[in-house]
Amino acid sequence: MAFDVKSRAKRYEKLDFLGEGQFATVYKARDKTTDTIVAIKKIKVGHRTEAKDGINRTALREIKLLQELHHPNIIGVDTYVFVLLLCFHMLNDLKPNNLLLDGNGVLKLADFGLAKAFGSPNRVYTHQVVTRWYRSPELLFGARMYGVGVDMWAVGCILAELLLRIPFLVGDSDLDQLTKIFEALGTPTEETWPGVSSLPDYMPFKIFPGTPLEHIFSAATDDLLELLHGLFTFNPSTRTTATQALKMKYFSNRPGPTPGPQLPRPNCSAEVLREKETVGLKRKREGLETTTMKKLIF
Amino acid sequence: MEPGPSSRSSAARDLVPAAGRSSGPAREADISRDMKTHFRVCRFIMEAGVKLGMRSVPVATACVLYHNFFKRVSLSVYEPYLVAMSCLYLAGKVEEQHIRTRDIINVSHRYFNSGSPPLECDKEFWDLRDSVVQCELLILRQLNFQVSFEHPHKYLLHYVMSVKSLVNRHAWSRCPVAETSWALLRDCYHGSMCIRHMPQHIAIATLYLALNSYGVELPVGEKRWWQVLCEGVTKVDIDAVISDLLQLYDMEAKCI
Repeated sequence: MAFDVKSRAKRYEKLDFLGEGQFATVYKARDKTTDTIVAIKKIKVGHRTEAKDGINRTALREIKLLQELHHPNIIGVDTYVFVLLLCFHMLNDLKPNNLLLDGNGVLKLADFGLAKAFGSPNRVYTHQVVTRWYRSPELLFGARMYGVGVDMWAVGCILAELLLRIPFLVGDSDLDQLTKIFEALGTPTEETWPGVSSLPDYMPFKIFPGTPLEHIFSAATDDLLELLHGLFTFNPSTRTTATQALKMKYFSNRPGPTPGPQLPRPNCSAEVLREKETVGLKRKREGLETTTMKKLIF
Repeated sequence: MEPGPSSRSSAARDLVPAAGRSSGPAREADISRDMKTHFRVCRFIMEAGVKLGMRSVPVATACVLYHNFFKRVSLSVYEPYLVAMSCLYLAGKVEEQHIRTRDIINVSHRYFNSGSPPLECDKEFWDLRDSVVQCELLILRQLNFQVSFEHPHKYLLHYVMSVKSLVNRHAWSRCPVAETSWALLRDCYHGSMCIRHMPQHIAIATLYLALNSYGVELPVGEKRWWQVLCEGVTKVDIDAVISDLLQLYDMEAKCI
């Protein structure tokens, strides 16, 4: 029962180092048998003290979900020993770093370490999920029963970031995050968000009136503002869902989305390069490529 | 008394293939002996699982991990009870019901040495803990990280609910069909039959056996009730599951 690790390792040629997270290192590589570019996510087993609990649960959850999910907008997976290979590339939760575009301009979701399969919808989950800037107010108030609304809030933040070209709500602590949210969108009350004051970590905040979305996103069209308004709804149970969002005017009004393969690519257009310099942010190039997209593919 | 992991001087040694054991073509007697061993080990997994407070599906996953592992490697090479402990640990992670290694070791120790006090936190304990964790990785590698399985439980639940609505209310209340079929389903995991049959077929066959055992009658129409509930299943499929299950019960008598 020999594990043919060496011959399988030979199948991939490591090309570049892409990034490093808490649990894994990601490399760009070429699959020599199919001549395609893949990402290798190498899970850190760590030294003895770190590995004392065996396989990391988050990593195992990710492997499991990726094996079960088959969708054109989700990266494919091929596991062998400790190395996971993800088609094209990748990066924890819904944030620009985890949104990738493949060679045909198709959006790929990556990093399912924190994704869980739907059990019963009102199951108690941990509230320490989602990178802070993309975290919804109910999570910040310590809600343990949450649903798809947290992802839709994150989608709103990503959309806002695409418009502003910088992250929208940048809090440096959970408390500061809530302050940033309320400064921008107004402080919610029991009227606008029934049940908010009974959340585990709720505390009263200064009442901010909020800035109208059209002032923040001055270049956004009315249909886009309508979508943003829906996504930035405080009450999670009335927040726009993905299905509702896709039925909104923004997704049917002209101009239609640019077909994936026709999207401008990074490193091949002077315009993009110029933009990169002017923006001058440590943003990932996927993010940049996405900013030039006319429409988001959900 | 079965030799349990806790009775070994160095548990880590069990991970190294033992030399000098027979590796020739498995004979009939070997197969039968191996089946008995697997039966006993699975009985251990289920008992330990109950004591650890694990739900039905995680315990079932532990058994499937175990059978899948020994489908790939020989029983003469790895200590089955250590593999079983690691399967319980890994199944807890896979099914999001995390179980601590310490609890698994304590429960297992009590299983093999009933009435004795728990292990001291000495070298033997830590060696055993290391072995459980290392063996977990070994299982993952052998199974190529394919650790999520579809179980018959959800199908059985659905079939029982459907059949209940077809049966006379009084006849149903007299016969513990749901409990019996659930128990039959659990027993399927004592052997590799749980990975040889489709989950739907196992579910329908255990319900079929439970209904027949109590002589519960179902309305007869153009199709048999099981054809209505489970598309594509044949009487041959059902008989194959029942035959495997009865063989396990037959073995139980020899495994006491």
